[in-house]
Amino acid sequence: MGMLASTGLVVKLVLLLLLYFSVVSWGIIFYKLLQVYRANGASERFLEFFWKAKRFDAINSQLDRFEHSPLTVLFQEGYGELRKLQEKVEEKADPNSVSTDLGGVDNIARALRRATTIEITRLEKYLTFLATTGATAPFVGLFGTVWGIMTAFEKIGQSGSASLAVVAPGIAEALIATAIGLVAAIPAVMGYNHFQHKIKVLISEMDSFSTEFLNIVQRNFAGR
Amino acid sequence: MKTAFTRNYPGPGGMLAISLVCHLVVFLVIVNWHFLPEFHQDETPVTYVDMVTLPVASPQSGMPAPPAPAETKAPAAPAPAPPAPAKPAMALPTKPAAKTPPAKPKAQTEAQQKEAEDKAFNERMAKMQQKAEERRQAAVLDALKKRGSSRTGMPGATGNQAGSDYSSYLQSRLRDALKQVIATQTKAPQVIATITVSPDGSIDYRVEKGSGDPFFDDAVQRAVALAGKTLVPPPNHTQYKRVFRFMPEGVK
Repeated sequence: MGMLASTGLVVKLVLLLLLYFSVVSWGIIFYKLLQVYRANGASERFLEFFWKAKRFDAINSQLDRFEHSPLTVLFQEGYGELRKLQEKVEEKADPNSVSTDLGGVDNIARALRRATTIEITRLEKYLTFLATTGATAPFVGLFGTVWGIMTAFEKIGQSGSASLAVVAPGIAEALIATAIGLVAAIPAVMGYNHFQHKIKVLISEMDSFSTEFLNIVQRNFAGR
Repeated sequence: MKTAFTRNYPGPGGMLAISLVCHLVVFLVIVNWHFLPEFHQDETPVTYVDMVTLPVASPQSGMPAPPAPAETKAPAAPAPAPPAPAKPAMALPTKPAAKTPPAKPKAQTEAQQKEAEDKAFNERMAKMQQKAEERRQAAVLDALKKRGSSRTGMPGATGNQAGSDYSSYLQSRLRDALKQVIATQTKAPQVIATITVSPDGSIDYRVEKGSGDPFFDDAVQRAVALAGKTLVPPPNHTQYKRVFRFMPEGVK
């Protein structure tokens, strides 16, 4: 404690900044762990339920059970667009007009793409902070160390003694900044890489689900 | 029907609070368990000391003077071994002088006998101590000779003084003489010659291997002759003989 208290103002500010980086990084890591864990679990259960169910409206009524899955968002968007198309068809006299209009499937595909993009954005939210922390925290710590060593040398010059007992404490105090910078950066980089991989897996799941949904729509609705 | 755009996702606020608590716990653990090294400013004043080597007037100045045989009670143990060659002998604490037994008014036989025995004992011990002292002085002198061999051969030296040997002395004389008469024609000439100094101080030399440079060979011959003019005879009236290598850089 005394070692931290004896550092200069600039080094203290650097340490506070690094503490902020570390606190927020770990907060994001905890948040993303929970988010990705829930999303994976809910997606698995939703897919199982999706392939067992016979009707879209039955699936739509049970979506609250899979609240954290991004696939439910895709299903909602696709099903919502399908319903709009059906309502439009029902308004017209000829009920077979949808079967010859391929633009209806394109509308659903666009809705699914948009929902996928929104879910990717939601999943990747706050990850940029982890990347920023991983990239900049060591340099911020290095800046604190350089500043601390400059101050330490200045004090050594004023004291007029170059013994190890005078030189070592100042340098050790300055090196704390680099150590804390690394402590903040290492988990951030590890977390960023881990979540990037997990989100990539979820994106591929969403793409697969979109394709399957469009196939089902085209198979069951476009031929009427 | 719910859409993705109306779904309300929880933010990371709760996790940030958990993270803050974790950091506080880690900080308190580090502080309380003294994981960080503590440095205390050294407040003791700095003292500067100049290290100087004072010249010694005489290397034997620290030696104890030989005690007077009659006045000093000799120690029971013999004199200590000679000191290390590099150091002059340390002054030994002088023993308090033994008081001679006062003459008693009554001349008793036993007292006289005891006095005679003491006197004889003192004389014996004084002789032993004197011998030990001579041995020690000889050892110190020998050590000084050995020590001085690396820097002997100074101009003006005779080779018989303490701290020098005749080989270095002769080498120095030859080197000085060669510097005065040197002349070369080739790049790195070298003459190997056996120098013989007779007990009366006359010098003789025989070339073992010439340099091939007539100028340098002649210079070596003249240097030996020049050095022989002021040469001191070898110690103990013996003949001195050694092989020297003459080069423009010096004599080895």
